[in-house]
Amino acid sequence: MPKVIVKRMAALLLLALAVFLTGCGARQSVYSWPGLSVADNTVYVAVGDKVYALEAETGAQRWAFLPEEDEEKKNSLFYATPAFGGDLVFIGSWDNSLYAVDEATGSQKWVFSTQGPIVASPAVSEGMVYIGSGDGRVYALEAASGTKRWEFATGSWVWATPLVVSDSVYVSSMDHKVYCLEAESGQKKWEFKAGGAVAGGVTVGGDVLYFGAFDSKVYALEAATGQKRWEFQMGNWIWGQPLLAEDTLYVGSLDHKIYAFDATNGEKRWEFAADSAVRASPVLADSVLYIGSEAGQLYALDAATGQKKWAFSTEKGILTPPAITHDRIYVVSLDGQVQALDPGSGTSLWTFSPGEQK
Amino acid sequence: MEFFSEVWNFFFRFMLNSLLFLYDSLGRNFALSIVIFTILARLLTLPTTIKQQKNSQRMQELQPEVQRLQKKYKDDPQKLQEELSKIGYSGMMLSGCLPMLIQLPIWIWLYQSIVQALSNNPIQLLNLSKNIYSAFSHLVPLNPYFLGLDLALSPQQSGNLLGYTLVILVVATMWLQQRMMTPPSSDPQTAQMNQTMQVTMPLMFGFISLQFASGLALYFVVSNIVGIVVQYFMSGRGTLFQREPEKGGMEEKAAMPVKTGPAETVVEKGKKRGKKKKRRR
Repeated sequence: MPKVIVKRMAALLLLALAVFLTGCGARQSVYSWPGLSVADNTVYVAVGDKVYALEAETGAQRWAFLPEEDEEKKNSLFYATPAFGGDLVFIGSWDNSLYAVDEATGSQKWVFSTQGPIVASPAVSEGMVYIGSGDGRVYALEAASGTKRWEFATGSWVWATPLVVSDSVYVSSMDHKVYCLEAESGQKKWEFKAGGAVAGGVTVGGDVLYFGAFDSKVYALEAATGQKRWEFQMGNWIWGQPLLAEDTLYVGSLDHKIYAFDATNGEKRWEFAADSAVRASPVLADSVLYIGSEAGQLYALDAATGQKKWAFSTEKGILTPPAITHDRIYVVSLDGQVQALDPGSGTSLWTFSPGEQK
Repeated sequence: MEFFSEVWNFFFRFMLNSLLFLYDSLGRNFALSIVIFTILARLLTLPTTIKQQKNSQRMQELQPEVQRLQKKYKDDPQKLQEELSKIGYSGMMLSGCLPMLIQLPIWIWLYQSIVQALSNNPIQLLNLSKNIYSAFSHLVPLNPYFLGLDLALSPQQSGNLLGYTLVILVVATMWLQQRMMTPPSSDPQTAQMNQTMQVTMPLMFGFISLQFASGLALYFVVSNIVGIVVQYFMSGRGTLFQREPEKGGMEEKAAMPVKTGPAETVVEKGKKRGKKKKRRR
């Protein structure tokens, strides 16, 4: 066989392999969306394998927390929004662990290991921490020590923050169900099966519970019994936690829209067409709804009409809910860049880039 | 470019949702879905596979003539190319590549479908939401377990014995398939390349299988087995039990091809005489 033909064949084979391996590359590169929260003049942002505490006013870094690596914790990666309780910051990681970190210094106080990755932030209530895990369980831990009080097994991953209301804990699971548990013991009170996985958290207002699911429906249930009150069909999955303000329910959907409903009967009040999928939950301040899109737009909408007031563009996508104080909106994009914005105009006040920090 | 991207995504989405349809129809057993899906895809590309093989056989039959021309025009490459074109050899090289170019996108869609269906982290699921038909949204997340093995995890992640067994099977079946597919060559350079490919390809795919989701390894194994079966019906065991030609000597011994049956494509006359009894299948 002529040499030139042999070489061409080898080149073609290598090209084919290169194309194939390029496709393979996407499989293992697990990356995350950042978590963002704000409390006591401090902005907490969990990006990649680090948690940063920043001055809310200036964006200056106060401390950074990097989980100690060991053989079993090679995949430290954060999706979750940091949560607070007492003088501790709680943050769940893809490395199966929930970390409790000192709020002032960022030093690790305790760590609790589950059997699956942790995606959501914990709920903190009355000295207890409730955390869902990719092992399909919900754990109730003592906030001060991380000691387990009880656990409850669902049929699939728990990727949403549990909601604690008086003596009940509401848990949504990827097994398509929402569970109501006794906060004290973890005993099941009721369960409701939706038509798809429930990745986002639930919201309770009065005696009604609201959530969205991967069957593209938003549901309203009786909080006490789990009986369905109404449902509304959207164009794609619902991932974010619905937001309830007075009698209006705000829901973002992967169908690129943001909806406002009459919370009592599920009647649509308005919808806003975003530029791309809306995964993150909305937040509300001073009658303005703030919500991010996958393509990187942060929208400020009139909560009553859905009219756009302004939009702020980030270079990467926004899959994390913004955080709000009385005079700032904080938004984090997929690359971990945090922007502090003026709520009135949407102009940037400061920027924090984790890649430039130690 | 955008048009190309849309066409590509259309077929990818079709493949992905076909896989999900099978999963739903086959008792939500993802391993079984991969097996059936891979077999169907191989059957779909069977006509091009057969064409490719026939082309390969014809090229082998022309080898002695090619070698004769190579010797004759060893100092005149242009004339050599002309003569090779005259006997149709150059055209065969190109038409031999064409079926591969048709098959390649199908394998990539198939592979991507398996990977995306096995999404097990939020970012991957977000991507799945863009490609899944709403009729199959209720299937998410898929049950990735097969005999206790999580097909979404790599053998290293799951630490499951079955995961490592699949990797070994990938290497073994790919070696077997390569061995059966590779036609014997009297050209030492080609023979050397064939021999290298027969070792490196299985090892490379074994390495990939070790690093990526076990569902992918299952797909490789099934695809290889189907390839082996197809190859057997087309040309028997091929060079499976043949020894590689010794370096240097074969070119001199090359003579007219001898076809003795589907399993034996081309055997050098000199070698055939010496090993006539041993070669009887």
